[in-house]
Amino acid sequence: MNSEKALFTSSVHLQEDDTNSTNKLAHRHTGDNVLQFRDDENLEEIILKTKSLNINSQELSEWSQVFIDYINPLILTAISAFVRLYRIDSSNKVVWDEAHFGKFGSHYLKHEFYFDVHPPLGKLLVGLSGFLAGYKGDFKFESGMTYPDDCNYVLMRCFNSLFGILCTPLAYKTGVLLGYSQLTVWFLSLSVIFEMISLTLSKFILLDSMLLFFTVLAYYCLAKVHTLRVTNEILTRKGTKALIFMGFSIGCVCSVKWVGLFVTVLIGIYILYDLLIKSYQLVSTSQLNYKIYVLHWISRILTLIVYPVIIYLLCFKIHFIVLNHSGPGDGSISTLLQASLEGNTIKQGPRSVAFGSMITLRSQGLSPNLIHSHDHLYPEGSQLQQVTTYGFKDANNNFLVEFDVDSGSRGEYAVLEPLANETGNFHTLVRNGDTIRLVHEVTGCFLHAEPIPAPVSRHHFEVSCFADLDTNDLRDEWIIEISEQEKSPSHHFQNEDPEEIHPISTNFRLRHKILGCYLSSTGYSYPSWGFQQGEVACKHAFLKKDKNTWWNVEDHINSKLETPPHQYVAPEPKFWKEFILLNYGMLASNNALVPDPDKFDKLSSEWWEWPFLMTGIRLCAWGATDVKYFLIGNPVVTWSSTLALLLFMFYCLNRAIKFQRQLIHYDVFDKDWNAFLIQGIMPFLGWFLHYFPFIIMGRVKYLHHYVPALYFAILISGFMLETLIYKKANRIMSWLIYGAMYTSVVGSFWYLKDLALGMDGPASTFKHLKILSSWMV
Amino acid sequence: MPFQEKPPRLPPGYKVGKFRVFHSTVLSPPKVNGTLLSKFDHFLIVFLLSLAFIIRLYNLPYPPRVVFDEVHFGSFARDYFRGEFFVDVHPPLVKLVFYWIALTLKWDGKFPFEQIGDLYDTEVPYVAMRLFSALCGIGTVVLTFLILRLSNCRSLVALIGALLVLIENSLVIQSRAILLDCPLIFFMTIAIYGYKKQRMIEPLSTKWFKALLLCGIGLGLTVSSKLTGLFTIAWVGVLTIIELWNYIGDLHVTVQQLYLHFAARVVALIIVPLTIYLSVFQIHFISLPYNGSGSGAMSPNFKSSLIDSDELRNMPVEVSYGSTVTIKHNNLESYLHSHDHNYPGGSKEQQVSLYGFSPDENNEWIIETKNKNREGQLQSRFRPVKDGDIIRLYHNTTGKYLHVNDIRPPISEHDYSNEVSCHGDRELLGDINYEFKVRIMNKKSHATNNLPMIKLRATESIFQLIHQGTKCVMLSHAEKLPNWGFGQNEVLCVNEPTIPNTFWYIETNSHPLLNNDTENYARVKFPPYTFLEKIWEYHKAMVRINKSFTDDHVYSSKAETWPFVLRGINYFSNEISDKLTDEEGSHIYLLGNLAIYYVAFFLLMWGIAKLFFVLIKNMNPFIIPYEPLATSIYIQNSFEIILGWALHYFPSFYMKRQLFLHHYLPALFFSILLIAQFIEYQVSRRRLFGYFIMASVVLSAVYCYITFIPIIYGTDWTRAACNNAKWFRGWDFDCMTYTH
Repeated sequence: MNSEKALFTSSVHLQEDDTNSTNKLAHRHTGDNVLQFRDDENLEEIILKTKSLNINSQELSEWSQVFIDYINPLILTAISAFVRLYRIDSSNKVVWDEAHFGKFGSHYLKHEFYFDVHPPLGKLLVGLSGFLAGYKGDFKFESGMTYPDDCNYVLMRCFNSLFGILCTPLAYKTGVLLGYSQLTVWFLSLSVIFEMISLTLSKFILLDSMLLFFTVLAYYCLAKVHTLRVTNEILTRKGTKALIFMGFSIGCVCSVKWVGLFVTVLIGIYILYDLLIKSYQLVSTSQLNYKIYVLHWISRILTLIVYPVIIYLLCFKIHFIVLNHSGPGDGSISTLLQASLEGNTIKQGPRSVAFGSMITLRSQGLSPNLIHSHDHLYPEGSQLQQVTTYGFKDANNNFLVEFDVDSGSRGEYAVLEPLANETGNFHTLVRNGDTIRLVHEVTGCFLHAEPIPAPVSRHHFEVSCFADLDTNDLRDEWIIEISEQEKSPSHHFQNEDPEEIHPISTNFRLRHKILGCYLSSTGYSYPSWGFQQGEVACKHAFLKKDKNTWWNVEDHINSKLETPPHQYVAPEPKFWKEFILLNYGMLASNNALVPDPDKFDKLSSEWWEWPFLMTGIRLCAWGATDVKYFLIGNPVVTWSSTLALLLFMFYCLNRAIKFQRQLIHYDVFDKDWNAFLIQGIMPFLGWFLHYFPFIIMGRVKYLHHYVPALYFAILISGFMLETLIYKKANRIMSWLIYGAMYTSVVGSFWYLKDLALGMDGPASTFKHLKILSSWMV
Repeated sequence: MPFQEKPPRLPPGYKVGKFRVFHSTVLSPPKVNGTLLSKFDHFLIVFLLSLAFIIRLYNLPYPPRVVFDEVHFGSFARDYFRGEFFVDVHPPLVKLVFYWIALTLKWDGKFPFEQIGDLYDTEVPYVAMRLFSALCGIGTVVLTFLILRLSNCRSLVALIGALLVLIENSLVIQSRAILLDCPLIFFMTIAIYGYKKQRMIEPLSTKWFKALLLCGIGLGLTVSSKLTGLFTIAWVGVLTIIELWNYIGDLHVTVQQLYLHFAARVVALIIVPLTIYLSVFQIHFISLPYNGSGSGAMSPNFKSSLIDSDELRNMPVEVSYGSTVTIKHNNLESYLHSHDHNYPGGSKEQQVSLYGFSPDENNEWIIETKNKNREGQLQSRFRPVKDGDIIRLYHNTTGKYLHVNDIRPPISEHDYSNEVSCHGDRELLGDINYEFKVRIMNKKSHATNNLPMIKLRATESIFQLIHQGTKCVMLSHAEKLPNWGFGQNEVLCVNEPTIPNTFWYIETNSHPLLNNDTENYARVKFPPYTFLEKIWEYHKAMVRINKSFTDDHVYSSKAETWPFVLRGINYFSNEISDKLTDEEGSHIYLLGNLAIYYVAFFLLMWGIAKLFFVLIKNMNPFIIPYEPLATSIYIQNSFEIILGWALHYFPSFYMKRQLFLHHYLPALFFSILLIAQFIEYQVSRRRLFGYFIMASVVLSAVYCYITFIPIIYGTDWTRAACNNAKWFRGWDFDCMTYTH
């Protein structure tokens, strides 16, 4: 039955110029819908019926079906594999962002904790490829370094390249599912094969080809779901399988890079559209009953929301499980998570903080960094020394606990060695409600707040570091308010005094004695004068639960007190909390990647340059002996897709006006409408969703950000070719035009192939490849 | 299938088309008849007018002092009076009107409008100028009544709507001073009225086109008063597109008629407003023939079109060593500047910045060779500066040389950027850190030959200055120095910078040998500057100035607080100036009418939700949507109003400049219309409930108005009552102003 069905759909698409049969088909489809609901078992009968409606269609020979289903995609995949794997080993140096992603892979192999702006799945796969290649993770992956013998980088690159290669059969199958003629399907596949940005990127250890693969997979699944929706088979086993696959692809694409959210939104829009139509059917027609309607909702929620979220969470769970050693990302994670890592660098001194202790303070807010001060002043406001939060460990994070001003004026100090007339007091423990002053160890100033607006969050007060031990300023005083004591799992540490400050496990707030506000991280970054470090402000927090005002002691050094006899066992970090913190951290660092408009960056480019290929990227060093790669798109593919997008907008306007004028007609269950929806409107929306956010994004942008959008633009090229040429022109004309398109796609690749396959020899021999003057070949 | 399930009879307004039914665009008589004015309406208009005269004109001459932004608009009138060129962020129409009023009343143009609270002298016709604003406010009230009548509101409801506009505190206060907002809103209501009117007239008739034309004129006047008018244009634009879309869908409208619809709108809504806008600017340029505060922000080519620019026109074109020059930033049109103040941090040397005003002695630099020269040596002979030359720049008034330190600049502290300062003295020997290479990058469009690419030529060559010690390129950008740098733009030196901000050119050039020797040394030549070039450059300057309003103002507020009136603006308080002994304490403080603001905001939210549901309901492809007339009128009108509100309000969220409560007023006007529309809907459905709502809204609005009368009109108040009236923390009117 299945093969019959497949045969039927493809034959329909091959003879669409016959309007009579199209009209009949339209009726058939709508008829189907009603019938289907009444009785699911009638399926076979319907197929028989519809088949009989189709008398005019010429039966395709079984052989051509075999070609369409198996042989053609195999041929195309083989071509794709050849151009992607050819000379994959030619550069034995670390190229482009391999420096990042290779390194992250190494961290997984060595189980060292690191921080990155992207979710873990792609990098886990890189780690897996390293594992398969027998690589131990010892290579530093510094840009331009030569690979050592023990790192089988070729296998790692091949593994990554696999994702690039697999895009081809998927694109092919998508084309077939969308109902395109073989001519168009070949055009789509060839465009995907010879699209040079993704081609070049799939030769290296990068995340882009995985991202593209999962994006292409997601659209393939959408096309699949669409065909099943049209024939009303969503709630069958086949339909559920397709939905599950779609959920899987969404989950994966979002776990590789957040860019995957855009294709998720695309699918979300489609699903909402579908459900909206179903709601209307439920309310205004008798085609649906409540049970089925609710079932539709449940199936979508389970497969497209719950399932992808589980995949995303699972990736992070694995991330946390694998990375159980201390590593370079330590500085910006919560103390508890750090304490759970083997070989962590926390200096665990005595179990209670006393006056005179040296401590570092970590925020419990959404950016869990250490409070920091350095020898630079605020350019505005108080113009005193800056106080920030900082994600790396250094001596400028160290603060000393000092008595309040009152004791200071009595000559009682805990920080300095006492002079003759002063009392050194080194054994008083800090208790809940005590007034303290915090001395910055390196610059010797006090943590201080003024009732003036903070530099970024103008509605909070500014926190600075002011004066030195010889001054007594009441605005240096802070009161300790303990919020929570976390319990150690070890029985040795069950009886700690809840009124004292214990490193790692005590969460507390610091209230400014005079202003009544709380020391707080705000989650914003200072501009360049503050080196993009996190802002610290004094905040009127009405909610005790505002975690931005919560702090804990991380390092604690006090040689005057006794260290405990047993090694302290820190409380277990909570997965949910760490998950949220990590994701927020990713978001924050992503937003912090803002380029300086005054600094020329030859790698980055602007969104408006991409559809025209104004600038490419040199992926590696440009010496005469280097194998050089230049990242640029295939001009024919990119430019024709841009033209197609423009044409498509006019086409839509034309269709809309004709529809409004009732020169043409679309109906929600119309075959024409459904084909237009999945072939034209959804890919265009996909392009828009993958492109528009980059227009409004402040973040630094690169050419390869256009790759997913370009895939959708290629689909639009296919749509315009099919609509304007295949359906309009006669057979010979369309063969000619398609032939010309194939030749120019392959030809332009052939001409520029050295850019993507690697240029050996001095750059001057490749001058002819510089098609536009802005390309820095 | 939809056709099988459609009701046997079509709902009114629908016709059968080829494939499906469509909505006819023919006006429905009951709808049109409901908008015709009766005798009673005329009586109500007269009543409204008399009430408006009392409420809006009461005590208008008080205070006889400069109130709030009268500082700006008064001094612009003064600039017009003197014909001195200025640049302002707003288009000139209303400023010109204020000037004309002052002119006809024989003002002497002397009063300087220096700061808020200055006592007007007897020559200033400030009452007449305020009267214009107030009359616009009164006109707005009457037009509100007419607009509401055209929106199918019954006379009583229209009266109530107009009454709400009449007593809305912020509109009253705004209409009593020499400000742009009330004329703006008045012109906007003309456009709305015209638009609404043409909707109720048989299309393509002469009367219809007149109404459309009125809308276009209103739009032209609005956008010539303030660029906020662009949002009004967008409002009319969106509604027009929807209207045309409906005409396209009406199969009984022929294609020829469709073209006529389109053409009429292009003429009335695009060409007419554009003509008005451009003419206003032409008048502006004609009125300002002399150099003034704004000429620093314009290019020399622009300036050459001003009458008193002889010096500029007779300037030698070739720049020599020893020339005294002003160096201008090509993008920001501001001068390289230094003054006798040091950086508080960094090198602690003398500040270098960009300054927007000329002439100023501190903008002058002398181009010198890289070695020490005898005093006057360079001035004694002509030696042109060529592309690639190494020069030093001597700051004449402070006697220091331009210098780059390998220290991070004060604001943009990046590794690759260096601080630019002034240091050293006349005795400075050769030092690579004071040397700059001149690299000519481009020439200005008025250059007639290729010479400016080889030799440095004033106003023609565009060049970079490359510091020799660190190889960085000197640039400046929109980033500003804090108070210690007087809010002037930061100048810095960046390694491998982006290009646009590194371009400089020489604006004025003076050399004792060249200045008077017109025989041997060529002069600068400017081709005539066309009107459109002028307009374009003026707009670039407007945008630049608008962007630069970024510093905190005590009374600025954020857009999200406006509908809730969380913050007001102190317009006038006679504590600022020395109070005359016999003067009562008085205070004018801009606050919204709490009842109106909150009711309107609630109805807006409710309306948005309702529209959303109606949209979802009407998208249903299986039914033909139908609503009773009252409901469809309410939905159509509330869509228009909410769109207007959103278009005038939401752009504020994207503006980075400082914003004030009075920027909400155009959006507020729309939201008041919504209140009336809602009352009308309720009255037509549930008469008693509707009247109850009407009464409660009006009573609470009147209460809010009466309570704050003292800070509207600046009349006397008691401290106790004043303190009681501080309903929110952000309302910081000063109760100590009052004597008891």
